[in-house]
Amino acid sequence: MTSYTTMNPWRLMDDFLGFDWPLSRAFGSLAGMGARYPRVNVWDGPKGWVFEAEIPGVDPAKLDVHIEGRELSIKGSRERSDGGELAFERRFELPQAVATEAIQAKFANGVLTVTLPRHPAAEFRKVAIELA
Amino acid sequence: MKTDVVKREDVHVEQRERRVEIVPNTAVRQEKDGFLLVAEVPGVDDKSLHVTVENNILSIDAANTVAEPEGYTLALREISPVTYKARFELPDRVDTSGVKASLKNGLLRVRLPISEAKKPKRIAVAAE
Repeated sequence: MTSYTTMNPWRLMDDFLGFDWPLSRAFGSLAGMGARYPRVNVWDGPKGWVFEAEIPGVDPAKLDVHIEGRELSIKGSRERSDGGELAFERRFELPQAVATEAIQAKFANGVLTVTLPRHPAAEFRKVAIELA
Repeated sequence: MKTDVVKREDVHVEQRERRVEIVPNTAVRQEKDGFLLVAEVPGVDDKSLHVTVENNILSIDAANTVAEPEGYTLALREISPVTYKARFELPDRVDTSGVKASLKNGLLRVRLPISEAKKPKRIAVAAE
């Protein structure tokens, strides 16, 4: 069990009334700061890949999911706590070809889920041998 | 920009991961009629979110849901099952009966109105 203290940001706010005081300064940036953003889980399965990316607060209309060859890119922008815009982008190289026309993306609870089926040509197939 | 290469052998995950408690990224700002507290809780739906106010302490308790598609193997792991937990001491001037919370796109917004009695009042100065 993690112990956690009770925070009182207002004590500071009283001193700097009218300013934004992001608590995030004490607990890491609201945007994940420098580290890879957004954070993802990638699943690899018999039918292809599933990407999950945590992008809380983003307007889904400002999300751009793009596939070029075997490279998937997720980019967009979101509002920062100070009202500014934060642009982000991540790229991933997939081990095999993707059936690009069958890619699906959905956004729920601040999580983007992209499902990328493997291209049929990249699936393992038993090759029938013709008898001469 | 660096491209992350997806490879199946990248990740060795224990089957049953312990759900850890973390403090959500949070920002507080002052608005016209009170304060607005915004906490990032991606992967949390309204059923697994609990926001309470008791004795001037605002508590947030929320568990995220991480997809685990059947038959799939993890190739890259950056998101874990977590419980977002935070407690905030509210100033006396917050009207705790009027606290409202909403959840949208992974952001929890808690509106903390300042009680009418504690709002600044202009004192009329009588001219003599």
